[in-house]
Amino acid sequence: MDWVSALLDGLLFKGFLLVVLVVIFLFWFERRLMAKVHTRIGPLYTGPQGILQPVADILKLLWKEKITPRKADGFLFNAIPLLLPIVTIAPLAFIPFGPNDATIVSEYSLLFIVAILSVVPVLIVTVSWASSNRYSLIGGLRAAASLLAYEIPIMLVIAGIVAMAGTMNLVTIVEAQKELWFIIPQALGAAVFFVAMLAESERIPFDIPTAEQEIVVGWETEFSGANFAYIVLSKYAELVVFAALFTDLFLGGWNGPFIPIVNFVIKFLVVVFVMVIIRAAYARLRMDQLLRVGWKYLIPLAFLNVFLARVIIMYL
Amino acid sequence: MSGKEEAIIHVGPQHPGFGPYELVVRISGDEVVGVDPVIGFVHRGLEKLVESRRWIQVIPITDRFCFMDPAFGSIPYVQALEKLLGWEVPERAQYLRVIGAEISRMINHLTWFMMMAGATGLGTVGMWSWRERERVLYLAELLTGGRFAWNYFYPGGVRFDIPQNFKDEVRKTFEKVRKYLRDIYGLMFKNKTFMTRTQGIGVVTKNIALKYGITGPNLRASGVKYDLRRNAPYLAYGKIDFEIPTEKDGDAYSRTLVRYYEVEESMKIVEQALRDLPEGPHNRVKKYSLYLTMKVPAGEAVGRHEAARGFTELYVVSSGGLMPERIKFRSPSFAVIQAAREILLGLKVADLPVVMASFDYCPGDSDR
Repeated sequence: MDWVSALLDGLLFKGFLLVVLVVIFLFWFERRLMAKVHTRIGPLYTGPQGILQPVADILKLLWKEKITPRKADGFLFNAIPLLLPIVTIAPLAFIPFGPNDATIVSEYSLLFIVAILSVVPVLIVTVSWASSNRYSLIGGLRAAASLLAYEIPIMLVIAGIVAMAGTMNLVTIVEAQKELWFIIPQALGAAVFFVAMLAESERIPFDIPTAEQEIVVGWETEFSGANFAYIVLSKYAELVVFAALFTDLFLGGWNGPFIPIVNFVIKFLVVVFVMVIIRAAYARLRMDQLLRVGWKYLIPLAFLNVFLARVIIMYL
Repeated sequence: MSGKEEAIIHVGPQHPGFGPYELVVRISGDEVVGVDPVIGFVHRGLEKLVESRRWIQVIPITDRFCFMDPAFGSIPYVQALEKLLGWEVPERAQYLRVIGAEISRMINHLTWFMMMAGATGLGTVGMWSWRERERVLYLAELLTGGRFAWNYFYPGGVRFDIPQNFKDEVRKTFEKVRKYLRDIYGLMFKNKTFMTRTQGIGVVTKNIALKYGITGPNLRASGVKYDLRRNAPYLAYGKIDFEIPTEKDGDAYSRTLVRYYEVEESMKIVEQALRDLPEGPHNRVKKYSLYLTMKVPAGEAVGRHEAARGFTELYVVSSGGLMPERIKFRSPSFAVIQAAREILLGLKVADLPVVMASFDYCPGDSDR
């Protein structure tokens, strides 16, 4: 009955349910933190300290009418928003947050993660075209261009890590950081990765593809009700994936003074904290500026980082 | 989206981060090659409306030319009336008018910071600006009884004298506003993402500004140091010492910077005015019921004011009756939207909201 327990695992703990709980928490965390920076309060009344606000928001979305524009490609329009959370949550199966806590342990876990995430731009372009809305299409193409541009530095930095650790197995990579977190020798890589992951999660300063002031909400424009809820879920799932990945790759994962899971959670929250503060503090870059940062600065730096990683391996 | 095809997109009138006006933009790729502004969405027929209102009833209307800056239309109006009536306004009233005008300017700029921050995605600055704006709105409420529409500037003076706690409240509030100004300097003007979005964007050269009659902070950001309060002093401005912030580059960044400094200058002006406030009546008219049945001698007069958004002028024609014959309001934002045809060329589409926000274009005062 192995598959039954695996299925339950996947749906509940260390699976979908866990992800949903984490997403709810992060949604609330972001809103309260941003509010604090803004000298506002943020959600306060739904549940203790407003913790149930994301639940209320998602429920509200689920109860709204799901409108499909007449000229839209009905099948794609409604199927892809379902795929997006699946694709963005799937990498979490490979990301360990404790020595025995990865749902799937594999020698190629990093490769799987990157491969799965690279599907996201394809889905976005397809769904923006399926919306049959000029603005959605522009937004989708912008999002795709942005994501493609920033995937390269991510892969290069990961290549540097793999070179240093000698493996693509995330568990091994975290174990290798028992003495020294990779952020020290790979400081440049960590910086590049951090910036690139902001772009990959379409967060400020890189959120122009869905920025309100330009083309309504870009590729998300036509989605209402449940479809929109899935998209929101996928956005936060991406945030979880990247923050967890950053913690494992650079901050030594679960290594630390407390019990493994607590170490991991603390570091994870620090990463999320920084990402939210950045959202509060920065303006958003224009599309061409966004691409310029990616192509002109991040990619060469990422190459440099691979080179440095090689050098470090040879001499340390 | 291939190559350089031309497309026409409509930015506005219903567009988050924009006002109720429309820009029909011809784009080639991502670049703007033609702009056709469409305005009039907020036309309320105010200039015609006042023709069936008694002289004093016009004041609530002139207050509402643009909601962000209540002194905008009312100060030039009462000045014009006073010229027609041949009235001399008590000194105390002139100082109080200055205080009102400067508080109005501060409110406008603080409100505007949110627009500018919102257009660039810098939410935090916007939120903090509105926090301060609440404080200044409270000062306005203390002074005039209203937050946005004041009904405060009356022909002959102002409606109320300052309340007892006003000086104290001003002192406390300005301390907080000054702290806020220090906070946002780094967050906005040294913020690389903000700088990339606004420097060199939407450049208005001195020539273009002068050609279209652009005034106010927009003009001063293009290097022309012209401010009615200094060049042709009115009210009590001649006796108050203040700077005229000017920048050279004429881009969105300069315009933001000019308004930032103007907030500080406004505070200085209010503090000086409060310090030097002369004794005397706050209005030469003692019985306000006089206003309702007031007849203004026939003639024409012009009132002028350097408002937050630019140079406003109100031309009043009287035929000797209880109501105005005609008023004509010169709107500073109208000049901007006309210039938009030229200024917006060559920008990327994403720059449009940023540049239009940097002009503090108010459809309310442009459309009347």
